[in-house]
Amino acid sequence: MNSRRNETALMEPGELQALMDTYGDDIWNYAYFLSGSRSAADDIAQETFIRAYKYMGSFRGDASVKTWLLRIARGRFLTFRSSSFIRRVTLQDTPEPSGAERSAEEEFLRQSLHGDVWALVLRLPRKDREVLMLHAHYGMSMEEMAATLGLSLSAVKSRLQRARRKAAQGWEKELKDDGQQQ
Amino acid sequence: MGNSNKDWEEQMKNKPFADGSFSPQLQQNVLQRLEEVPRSRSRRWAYSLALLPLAAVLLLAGYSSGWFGAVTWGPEAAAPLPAGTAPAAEGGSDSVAPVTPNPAAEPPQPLVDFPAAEGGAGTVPLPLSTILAVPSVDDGSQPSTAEPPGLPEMTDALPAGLMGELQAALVYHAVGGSGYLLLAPKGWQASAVIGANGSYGTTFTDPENPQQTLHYTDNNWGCHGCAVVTIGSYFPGKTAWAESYGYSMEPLNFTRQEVLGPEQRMVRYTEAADADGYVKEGALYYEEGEWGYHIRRLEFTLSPDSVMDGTRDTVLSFFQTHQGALQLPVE
Repeated sequence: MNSRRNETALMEPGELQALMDTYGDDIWNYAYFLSGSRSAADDIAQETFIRAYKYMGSFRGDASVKTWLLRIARGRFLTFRSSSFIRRVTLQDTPEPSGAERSAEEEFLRQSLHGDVWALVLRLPRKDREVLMLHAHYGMSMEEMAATLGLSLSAVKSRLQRARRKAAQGWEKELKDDGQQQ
Repeated sequence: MGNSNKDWEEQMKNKPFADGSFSPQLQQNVLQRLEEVPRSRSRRWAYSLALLPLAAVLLLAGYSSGWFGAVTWGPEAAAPLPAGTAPAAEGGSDSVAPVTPNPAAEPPQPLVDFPAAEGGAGTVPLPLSTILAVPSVDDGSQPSTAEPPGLPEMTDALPAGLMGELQAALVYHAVGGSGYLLLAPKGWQASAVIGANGSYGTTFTDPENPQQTLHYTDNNWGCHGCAVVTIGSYFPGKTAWAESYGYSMEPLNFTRQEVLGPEQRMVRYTEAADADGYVKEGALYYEEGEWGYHIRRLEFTLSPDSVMDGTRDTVLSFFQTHQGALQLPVE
């Protein structure tokens, strides 16, 4: 998969299935942590694989397949975010998520999220949780993160430093609260 | 804290959810949608072919009725009128009539409210200047976001007596759209740059005495050597540390050097007056990371007859509170 491909080469259906089996959860999780919504994560993850299938010919192998897919997912999220902003602004009758929908999302998180650290990460601003995920969970290098986020290397370092500091403060508070409860 | 930090980062290596977030149903949807693509493509062609005669009829009708002749096509239709002119009155001649600019029509400068410090009533509104930071290396190929970032609610309490003395300056980057906010003396003119290595800064200049300035810099983790020299020069007790890197230090002549904060990474300083009597007074903050040092500095250069004690203190205290400028990320 990492090897250079023919420009016009398309993916075989079996290859796409393998790609989804291998990276489907990673892409969905990233989309969820970006959007904070299961339905948005469903859409973004599906769109990611559709685009990967269509544009496999443009994959140069200069990044890992996972990094390439994460970049596509990020692009789909930005498109989703701008179109959902347009919907919110122009369609006045678009209903806001109801209390029931919100609590369903919270219930899903309560039941499904593994470990306190992820709840902590979800409480951080999007940019902070994104850079933490890319670094700590997906193991991206600084250079890969810079390319994925469209930032300079120094800006990525700065953002990661800030995010780490916030997460460490939150984690310390969590440990302190736990200690007080016991 | 060290161990607990490693804990949370270590835990992030695990998956946030159990396997199966991208369910077989979603995978099936992807495969189905890809199967539908050729069909919808052929449907689009069919619609296009059906609409072609209709488009031809509309074009013919438009030209034969002369309606298209009344419409201006091309770039001139969208070109703005020259400055100081107004569009011709409806139904009038093609000429444009000069108009006298009306100063009253100038949009008022926006204000940003700060809470009043103890003893003051309500808020302290400050005029807001918006400055676009210009990259020093720019090939014009970068997309530009024209919109400055939004401002959060201000929480820094300011003395009400400084209402007419200060301005809030929002500096933003054309690429990416992030920005930062500083306080500065009212009426001082600002220019902002972004260096080739990602460092950035803003200089405010007193229009009545250009030698009086306020200079903000952020090295953005760049230039390790410069950072070591700066820390060694401004923080008492750090000279030997900086020299251990092989740099020779030229001591600055301070009349005040006060290291602040629990981590001792903020310093407020005043340098002795130069030959013309001008004094540099500022604050410097640094962070240490595994990739170097992040340094932010705000420094006044003030004339010997400068009388702005309250303004100077408030501007530097704002920097001190935020350990630099107030960062305004784009969300």
